[in-house]
Amino acid sequence: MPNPITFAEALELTANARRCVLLGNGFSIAQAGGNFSYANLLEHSGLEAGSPIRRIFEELNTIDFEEVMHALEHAAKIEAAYGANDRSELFRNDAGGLREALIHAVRDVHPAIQYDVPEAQHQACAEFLNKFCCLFTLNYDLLLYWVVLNSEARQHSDGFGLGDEVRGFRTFRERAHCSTYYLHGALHLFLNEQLETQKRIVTSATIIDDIAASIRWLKQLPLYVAEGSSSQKKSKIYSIPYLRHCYERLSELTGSLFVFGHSVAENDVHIYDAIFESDIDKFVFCVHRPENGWDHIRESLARYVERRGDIEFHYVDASSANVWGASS
Amino acid sequence: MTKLITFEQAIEDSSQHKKRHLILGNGFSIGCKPKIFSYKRLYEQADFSTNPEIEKVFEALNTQDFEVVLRALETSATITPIYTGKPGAASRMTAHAEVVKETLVQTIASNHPAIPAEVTDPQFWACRQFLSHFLAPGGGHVFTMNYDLLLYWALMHDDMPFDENPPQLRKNDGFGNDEDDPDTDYVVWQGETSAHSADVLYLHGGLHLFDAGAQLQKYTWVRKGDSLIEQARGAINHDKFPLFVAEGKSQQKQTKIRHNAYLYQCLKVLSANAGTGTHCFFIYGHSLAKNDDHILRRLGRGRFKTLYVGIYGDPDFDDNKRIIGRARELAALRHQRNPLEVKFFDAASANVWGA
Repeated sequence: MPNPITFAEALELTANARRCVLLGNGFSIAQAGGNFSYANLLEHSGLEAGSPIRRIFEELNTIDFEEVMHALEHAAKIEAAYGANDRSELFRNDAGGLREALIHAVRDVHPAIQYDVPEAQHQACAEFLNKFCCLFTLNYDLLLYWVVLNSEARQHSDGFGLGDEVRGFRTFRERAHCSTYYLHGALHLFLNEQLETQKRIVTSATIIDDIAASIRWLKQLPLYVAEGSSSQKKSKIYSIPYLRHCYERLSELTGSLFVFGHSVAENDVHIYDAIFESDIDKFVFCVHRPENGWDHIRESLARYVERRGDIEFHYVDASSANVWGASS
Repeated sequence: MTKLITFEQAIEDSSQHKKRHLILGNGFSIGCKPKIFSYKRLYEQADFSTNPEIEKVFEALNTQDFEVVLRALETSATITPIYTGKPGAASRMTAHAEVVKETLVQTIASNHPAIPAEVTDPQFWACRQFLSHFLAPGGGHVFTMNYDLLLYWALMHDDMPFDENPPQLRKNDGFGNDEDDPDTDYVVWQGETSAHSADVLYLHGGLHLFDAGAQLQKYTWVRKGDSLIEQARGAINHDKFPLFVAEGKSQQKQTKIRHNAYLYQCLKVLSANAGTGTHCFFIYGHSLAKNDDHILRRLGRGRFKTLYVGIYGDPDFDDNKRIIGRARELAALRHQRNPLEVKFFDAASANVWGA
């Protein structure tokens, strides 16, 4: 590959204009030294293979909890309309079981250690984030939220600041100041009946308990885009005003965009389509282990390089960004 | 009493504004085929008398939306065998899903002309003259709240043999060829960016628009000779559901609109134009009823200066008085800095479907 430049050099190259960053799951994985990883929540649900709920996921060919929840709830209502109350009860019970499984998964991907990101990591990450005027993330875990909340990176806000707090929730407003965009949703975001997106307000380290309570008692599900094909993800994004809003902001970017912790996977093509529809003039891709990862990246980005001759492409050795500090 | 001006006077008066937009209500369709278009709710007209259990399913799901019920029945039929172990356990759901599909197709068909030939050429030509006030080059947008095909047919009907200067209508609706498969009998919505250049926007969807999951497809009359009912049946059997907002109160309609990227974008284009001080709007064939408040409020909150509202018959009739009152309520939503003037025109004088 062409010699990657360092993160510091890339910052210099982009010093004179708006600079934003897109974070992929490499951001979360790097924090825990490789221990923090989730391909999808279903794997962490504790649902046994062959159990009825697990078979519904298979039958509907999905890993999206929401889809299975709707199926169970609708089936319960239809059986009740038919007068088949025993069967209705069966479906209703499993809807409850599915909620518990989701809570289990949320806890499982956020082990206790994640509450206390060491101070040094906080500092380093805040310093990294403060280089950018806006943050886009594809991760639906709570790590970015924690860091922004508990560190010097509080210059970043998420668009939930204008609304009043109602029973532990705040509502997203398009006109509120916003510099953090959860492109694929996040586990602390919930939808209300008007399809407005609401943020569960943190009460110290009990955020996971608060999320669990919302799922269990309010019967709401977190707003996130489950793994799947790019077109499945895009359908979901298009059907939720908040996600659509975030996606539109990505496609309207100007200045420079850095990508950190992402690998241009085929099932995130919708993200790159939006990026290369925007008016950015510099695209800075942070390559993880450039000695191994370069060929794949070059191949995946080739079509965009060809399409957008007006954009400068730069490649950075991801390790030089020291996102979580020098030792990570 | 309120004084009506003629449509011609309204058009002349409106030439002081840079752009002129039109919003169509169901009076547009009823004026063409009063016996066919009633615009009662589809659900009310659907006949489920031989299947009272299906009515109970609509009730249990708390909806009058055919699509919601159909999808719920199909999914439930898929998962039920997991719990019973018996292959026939879901047969009632499967059968009901089929009935819902066919009932929807039949109900749509009995409330709509089957083919464009049921509308006469002179009717289409008159309609195109009317539309040309809004869709001539450099003009504004046409927004329709109707999901029937009359507007689409009128726009496609671009042969006017007896007229030396037939009006040229802009009819871009933001749909184009499927890039992956250009030879299909449908075209595909090209997304938000294209919506800004669209001239015609279906605020409540249309019977020619089909939701195929990741794509919104438009079945084109030019490419396909089937009647509406054949088209609808074919599409539904391929798991594509016509995109239309028919049922419910303003809030329910709003929810459906917010869930769909195309509909939401149409509404945003309406808002953007209503927010432009140099534009004006015409409303034709709409009663300004509250169940379309999700659209009307955007006019009230806009910045354009003049709203021309079509009134059928004597403005002193109770119905018309109510419409006039509602129009003034919309004007009252305005901030003092951006007042809205409302003028009323005689809808009959527009001769939309000919004299």
